[in-house]
Amino acid sequence: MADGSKDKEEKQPANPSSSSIGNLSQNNPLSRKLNRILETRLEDERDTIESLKVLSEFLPANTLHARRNLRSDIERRGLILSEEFRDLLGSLAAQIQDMQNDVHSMRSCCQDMQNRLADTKAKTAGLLNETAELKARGRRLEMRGVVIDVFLKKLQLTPEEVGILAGGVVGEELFSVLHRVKSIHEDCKVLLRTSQQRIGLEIMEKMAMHLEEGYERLYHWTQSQCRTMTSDLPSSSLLLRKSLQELKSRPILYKYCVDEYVLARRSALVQGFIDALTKGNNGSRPIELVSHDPARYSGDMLGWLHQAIATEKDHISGLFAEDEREWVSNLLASITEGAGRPLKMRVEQVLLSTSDPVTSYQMVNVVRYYLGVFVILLGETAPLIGVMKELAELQTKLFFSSLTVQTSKLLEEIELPDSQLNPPRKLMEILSVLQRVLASRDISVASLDDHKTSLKQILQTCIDPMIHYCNESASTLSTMEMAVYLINCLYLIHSNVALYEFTELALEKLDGQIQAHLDTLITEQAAYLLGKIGLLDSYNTLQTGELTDEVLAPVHEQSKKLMTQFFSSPESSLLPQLTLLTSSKFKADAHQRAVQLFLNAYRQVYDAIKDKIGEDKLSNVLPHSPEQVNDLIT
Amino acid sequence: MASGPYNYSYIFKYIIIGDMGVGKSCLLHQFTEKKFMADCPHTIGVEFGTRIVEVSGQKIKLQIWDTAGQERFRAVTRSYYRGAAGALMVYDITRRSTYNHLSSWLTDARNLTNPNTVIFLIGNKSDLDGQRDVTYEEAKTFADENGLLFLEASAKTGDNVEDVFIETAKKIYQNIQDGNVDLNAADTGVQLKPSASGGSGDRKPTGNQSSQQSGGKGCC
Repeated sequence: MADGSKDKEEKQPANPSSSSIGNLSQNNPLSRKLNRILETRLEDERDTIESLKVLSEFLPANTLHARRNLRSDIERRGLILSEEFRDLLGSLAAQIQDMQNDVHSMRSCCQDMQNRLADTKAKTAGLLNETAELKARGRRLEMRGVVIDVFLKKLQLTPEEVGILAGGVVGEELFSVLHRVKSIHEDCKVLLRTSQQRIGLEIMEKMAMHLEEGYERLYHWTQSQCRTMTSDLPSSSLLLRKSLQELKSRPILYKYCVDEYVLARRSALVQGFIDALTKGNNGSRPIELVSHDPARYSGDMLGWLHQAIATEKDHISGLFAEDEREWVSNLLASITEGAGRPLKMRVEQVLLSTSDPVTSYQMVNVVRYYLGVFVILLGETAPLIGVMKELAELQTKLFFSSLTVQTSKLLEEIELPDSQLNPPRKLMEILSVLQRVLASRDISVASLDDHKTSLKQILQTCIDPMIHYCNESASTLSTMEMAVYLINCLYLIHSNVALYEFTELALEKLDGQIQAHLDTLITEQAAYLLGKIGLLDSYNTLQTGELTDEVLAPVHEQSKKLMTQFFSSPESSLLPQLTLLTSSKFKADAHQRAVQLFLNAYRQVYDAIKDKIGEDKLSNVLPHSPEQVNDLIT
Repeated sequence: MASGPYNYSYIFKYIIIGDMGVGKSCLLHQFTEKKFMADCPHTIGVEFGTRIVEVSGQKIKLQIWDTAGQERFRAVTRSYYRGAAGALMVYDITRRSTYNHLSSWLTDARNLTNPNTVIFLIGNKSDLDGQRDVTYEEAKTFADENGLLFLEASAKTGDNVEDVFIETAKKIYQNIQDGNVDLNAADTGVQLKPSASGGSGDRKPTGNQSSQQSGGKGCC
């Protein structure tokens, strides 16, 4: 502090002096130095301040002594400091020396270590190689392990799968295992193409064994399922369907199952049929209740069978998923086989107790109808069809025999015609039978030709005896009466038969006979007319030769009279028998044609007489010309 | 799991009756084939058709017997009434005579079927409204009086055809549910398919499970 203040005191006077001598200092080095010293600003010189401060320490008092010794003090001090410094450096050098020693030893250590490392390295190289090799092998083995796993997984069955094949319930699992076995078997074929033939063959063999085992199980199960299908409406589970589909690849096993099914269904169908017939299944009306009505009875039985067949068919196509028609038909044929016997028994029973031809004909038709329907469903060779054909044949035979019997029974006693020449009553009876037969005709789907043939036979069976009967009963009658009577009979038959289809042939035949008798009638009638006017003899003579006077003599005598008589009332000229014709059409027809015939004959006789006696005399004998006669008579 | 046409729980038997030419076969064809059959030949005796429908979640197979309308086939057709669960009685709305014959068809149906048989009256050819000969109201009254279900339908356009068959099935199914139809009885025309969907006995519609052996059968 004291120093500072002294400095200031020093500076204060210095400043004005420096400035006062400024101009002098320009050239004088001393002054320049002075100036420089003076210009130094002590405040800014930290070092200086610092050194001054230090200086102030060992200069306790600004004494002369002190001032004089300052320099030595400082030097001494410097010396001390230097010594201290030297000492310090000396220890430092020692330390460095130590350090160097350490470094040296470290270095030798490192060297040592390096050497050892190199040694070890050299030693482990072989080991490393070995390890790498082992690792690679390990990886290869691992890969092989994976491959084998995959191989086994793909080409071998798991124990569970083997278990499923060997036992347990038949279900989805079995199918999937079977499919797997199959696909393994298939995949092994690929193996055969590689170098791995042996393993391929072995696996295939094993799989084939498994497959057999699986199919065996499936077969036993399916067969037992099929065997139980004896209920009215068998259950068909999805599983069973699938099993059957699966078994199709083993045709023999499949066939056995199908056979089992058919057997079960056959007995079920028979049982159902018998039940429907006798019990009517739980209180419903049994079919046998209608056995008093044979046609209905056989119809109901066959109708029941038809519906049962439809259901069976449905069921077959559902269960077996087979679309082939013939296959299904064959199955149905076997299933329905058993129904043949009870059906045949019953139909025959009622058939034999039926004497009514109409009923048996109805039965024939019903059976024939179903025969047509069933043939489509079951095929021509089905046993049931055989039975039905037999039945139809038997029925047809019995029908015709009962028709014949009834006809001949009715016609046993010849009935004489009545005075009105009406057809006999028995004819009406037979015709009513025939009519009922024809009316109950034909619901069968038989071909038109068959139909016509059977109709022809029916008509023959009835009509021929009837005509025969009529001829017999007419044997006592005169020609005219017989003709009228037969026409009446034939006409009755004709008009009855004409109501039905496919009777043309019979009608034609009847028509022919009627016409023949009609011709007789007409001739008679014409002759009668000629007789009425006394020209019959002349006409008859004229047919064989010349007119002679002898023949003409009576004509001369009476013709004119007779003719006058005749033409005054020509309507009475009808033969009495002709009026007995029941058909007014035939009556008119006969009359018409008789008149025509008469006119022709008259013209012939007239012309002949005219030639003979001349025209002038003619008016005395035959006063009317043919034209006039025509006008008079028609 | 389902394998289409073979998976069903019941079989219902139907019979279609009515005069010749009213379109019975065409209705059946429209229902089973969904097509109109022009120039349909006369039915000889009986024909047969099936289709599976679904009623209240149940698959039901309809076994439909289409009868010939011609009188001469009566000897055959009458055997098919036995055990029908549904009878579809058809007339032609353009031909009064076919309507007039209904009562005789109804008598047949009543006599030859069982009391539970559902009878459905169908006025066919509703597409020919211009030639109508029988009014809807008249037929409706007739149906109501006789306790019949009734709809007019057209086999040609397919209008209402589906409904007729399905409504009948619904009614039959309803009867089963109500216990009116004993599945054990043979005459009902209803068959229970015991295990169409897998193992047996997995359905218990009306507690008639025991029907599998002796009953569940209606086609006799």
